[in-house]
Amino acid sequence: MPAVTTAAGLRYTAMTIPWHPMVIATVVGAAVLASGHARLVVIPTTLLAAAAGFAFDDSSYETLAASPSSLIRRRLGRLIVVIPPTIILWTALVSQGVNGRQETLTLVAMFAGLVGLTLGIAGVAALRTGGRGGAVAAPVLLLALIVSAVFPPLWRPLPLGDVPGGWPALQTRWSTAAVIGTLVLLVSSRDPARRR
Amino acid sequence: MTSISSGPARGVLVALARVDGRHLLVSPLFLVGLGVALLGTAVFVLGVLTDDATTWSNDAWTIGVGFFLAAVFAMLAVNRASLRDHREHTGEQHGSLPTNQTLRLAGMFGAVLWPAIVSTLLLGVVVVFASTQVDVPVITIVHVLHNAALFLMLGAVGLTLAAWVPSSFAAPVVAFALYFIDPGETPAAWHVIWPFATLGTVELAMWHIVYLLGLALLLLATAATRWERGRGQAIVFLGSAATVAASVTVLIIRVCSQAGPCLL
Repeated sequence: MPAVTTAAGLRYTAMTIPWHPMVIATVVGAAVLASGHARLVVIPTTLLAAAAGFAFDDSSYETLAASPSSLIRRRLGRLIVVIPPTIILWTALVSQGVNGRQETLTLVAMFAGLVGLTLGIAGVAALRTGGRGGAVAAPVLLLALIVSAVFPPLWRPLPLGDVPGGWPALQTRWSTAAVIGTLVLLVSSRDPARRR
Repeated sequence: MTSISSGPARGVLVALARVDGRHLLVSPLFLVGLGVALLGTAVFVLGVLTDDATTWSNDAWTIGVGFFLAAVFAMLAVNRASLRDHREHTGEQHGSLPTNQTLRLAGMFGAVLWPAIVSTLLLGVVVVFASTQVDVPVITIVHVLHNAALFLMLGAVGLTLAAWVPSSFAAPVVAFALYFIDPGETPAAWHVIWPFATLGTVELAMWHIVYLLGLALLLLATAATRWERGRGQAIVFLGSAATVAASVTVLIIRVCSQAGPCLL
């Protein structure tokens, strides 16, 4: 009985998630990669990460806020539904244009960092927009990338190109971004009813 | 609450443009864009104050990029404002108002004038300040006007996306594409179609402004066909398409034809 309840819960959760951002990100990402520019692999990576920000968009946010299920649990259910297809689509899109272990690791770290940041932003924004933080996440992510580009490469927190230190430095910075984004998401997922 | 009186179409259009324009000016997305523009300006000013070798031609690109990105954020703001009916499920209610969708679309395009004017005035002030510190070429005046045309064109992009792809993710996708994709290091004639292209002579820069304004009207007519397909739209569509075609032809023929490098 509990297993059936969980499966049904995930199915109904999937029905409330807006999937069109993921479809748009996949189609545009595939079109960009089809143009033959391998260096543009960052576009599908960013678009799919930004699309994941819509995971928390929930038109029944206010109604469910009073349910016995905590906010973090509800969000976890949505992530379980959204993250696997996001990873599968991203892997399918970018796997053709990656060469070597270091490059693969860096790209994975970048994707994790972008997804982590997007979810962190969307988590905070959802609280302030009544469960519609997805539309806020993408512009804020763009702003973060722009502000990061202002820093010299040595200090750039979200590097999209070469930085001193090479692959390890890129992997460290993007992994750090992933951790920070996840922490922000966790803090923003504290149930509002338990806040002082 | 601001009320909009019913009356002649022009009066309603101006009233809508005024109300939505004021909303756009205080929208977080437009303010973020202005912040990015000021960030680019600050980088240049810092260079001017700390390094005597700073020149307009070598270092003012940070100002240009800042204002280009401000126009991208304005597009996001316009798109978000245009999608409010879709987002709030108020399409049916607004359908009973004494204005049709096409008029509201035109009103929203009029509203884009506000951020376009504010950012262009700000860029003008920056250029005047810079001219007191370094030599600023005369063509910069045309580039300031180019900024206004860019805001209008990208505003029209935001409106067209809202009309035909009513998703709050469509405009960010275009924004990311504009941020990541560049036409390439080696100048080529076709680069003139890129909205951020800055042309090297006054005449070509003016043609690029004509191109952007034509493109804005073309996009607007395309957006309007979502709800109405009358003779007026057809005239605007054909006229703006002809303007875009003519300006692009002139630009492509002239930009790389003269002796020396392309004037991009």
